[in-house]
Amino acid sequence: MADNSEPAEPELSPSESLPALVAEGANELASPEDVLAFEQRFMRLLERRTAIFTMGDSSSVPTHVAVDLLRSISFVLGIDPDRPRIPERLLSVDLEDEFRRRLADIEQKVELAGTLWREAVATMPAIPNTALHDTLASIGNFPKYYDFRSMAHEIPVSIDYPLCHPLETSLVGVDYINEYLRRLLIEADFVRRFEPAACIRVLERSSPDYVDLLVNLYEPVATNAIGRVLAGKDPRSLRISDEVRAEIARRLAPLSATQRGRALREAAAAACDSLGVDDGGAREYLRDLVPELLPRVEVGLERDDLCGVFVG
Amino acid sequence: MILPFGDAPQRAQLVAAARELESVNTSIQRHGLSLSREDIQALVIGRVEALAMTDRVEFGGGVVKDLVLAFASSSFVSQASFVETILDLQDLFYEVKNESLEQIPDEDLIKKMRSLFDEFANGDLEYLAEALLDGLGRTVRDEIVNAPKLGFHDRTDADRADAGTGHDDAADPEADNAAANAYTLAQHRYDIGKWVDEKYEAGWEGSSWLDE
Repeated sequence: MADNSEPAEPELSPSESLPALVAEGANELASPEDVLAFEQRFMRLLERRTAIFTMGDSSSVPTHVAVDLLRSISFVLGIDPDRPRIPERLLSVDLEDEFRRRLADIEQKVELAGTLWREAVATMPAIPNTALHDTLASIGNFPKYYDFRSMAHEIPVSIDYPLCHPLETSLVGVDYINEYLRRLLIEADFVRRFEPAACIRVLERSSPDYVDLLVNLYEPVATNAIGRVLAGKDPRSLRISDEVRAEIARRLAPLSATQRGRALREAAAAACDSLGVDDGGAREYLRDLVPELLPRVEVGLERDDLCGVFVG
Repeated sequence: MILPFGDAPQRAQLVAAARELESVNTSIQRHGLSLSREDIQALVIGRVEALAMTDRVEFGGGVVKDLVLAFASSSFVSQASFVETILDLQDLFYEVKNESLEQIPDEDLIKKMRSLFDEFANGDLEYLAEALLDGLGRTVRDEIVNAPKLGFHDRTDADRADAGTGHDDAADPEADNAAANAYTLAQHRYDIGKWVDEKYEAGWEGSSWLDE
């Protein structure tokens, strides 16, 4: 006959624990009771989101799916799954309510992504580039494939076109898309300030197969614009003749590395002024090119040849 | 990498599973069966081991209670073999879930296991495993891996008839149908566009900005 006493707690080794978010380090932030309560609420949320993902068809999922669901929940709740800490704000809230509220925020972020995408499509410079075209087309399908309820951390589109300043690897889901589009718009806005023919001439010198290769369009254009300003010229033509290049070398050669860095930053700011770039983010974006440009300039000056930096 | 919880949540789940199993005693007593405290302990630990072996995660009490209830009325189980049988069925259940690429709902799989157990395998778990894994899971997997470009609408009636097993030694016509259904579902699942539109409430009416 069955034993009617309370069922015994089965023995469980630590290695049999479920994958999840919170490690012992979390105890530093909260009492053990708080941590335990959070774990239980988080597990209930994970269980519920798993049931929604399987549409109630399955009480179990492969571990890799559970990990994905957990990463999605973490993204929605603003938890970094790689840091063994519970944000204090989550200790006292109803996680289901918080999840729903933040899911609504994710929806708004996707709407913002749509706005940014439309703007990007409408304002891309008239310069052919296969990767840019394909990437924009792929991002256009983002709302179709983005399962923000269950896989909010995923980026279910192909992004081939390289930005001048790559995104941080910590960005995921719609946050990645929005930041990518924001940077792409900055780049497009800058490039559009020049005649397409001038840009294409620079790109052809920089990378002859710029249409089909995975190359960034902004970086060579911005570099030449800074170069023109360094030589005391208006940046708009983007043309760097031998004389202009010699003038850049003449002005930079006597300077120390620190002074050259400052000169490049000042040239970037002056280029923005000259081109009417007022947005702080766009000015900073161009200024952030300097740390990448400086080593190339140093090498060019050592070899007395800046052709590889400021193309003709 | 994601760090592990303490074992408290899982321990709580296992206690929940044990409570669920405790509650089924009333239902299975009419079939001359019962689960002792040791039986329940064995089933719950067996569940943990089966999940670990199949690399799966399960929430709540799990399927073990459903397996107990589904198989208690089979004439091929007895009090002496009941726990051992359920443990084997539990292992097989999770294995088939993996092999069928998640296409078969728990409830349908348990029903299928029960019908094959009684009508085809005559209580032999090896035959049951063969019928399920060889006749169903493998076919679903092979169809997808080996003929991904063959649309279901392009298949002949003979193809469809064989879809259940791909072999002449089909478990039974129902298995064929189940596999054919699983195949259809798998096709949809791998056509992600259809899958998203059909299975999820799309946040943006499933539309693409490209449609505008």
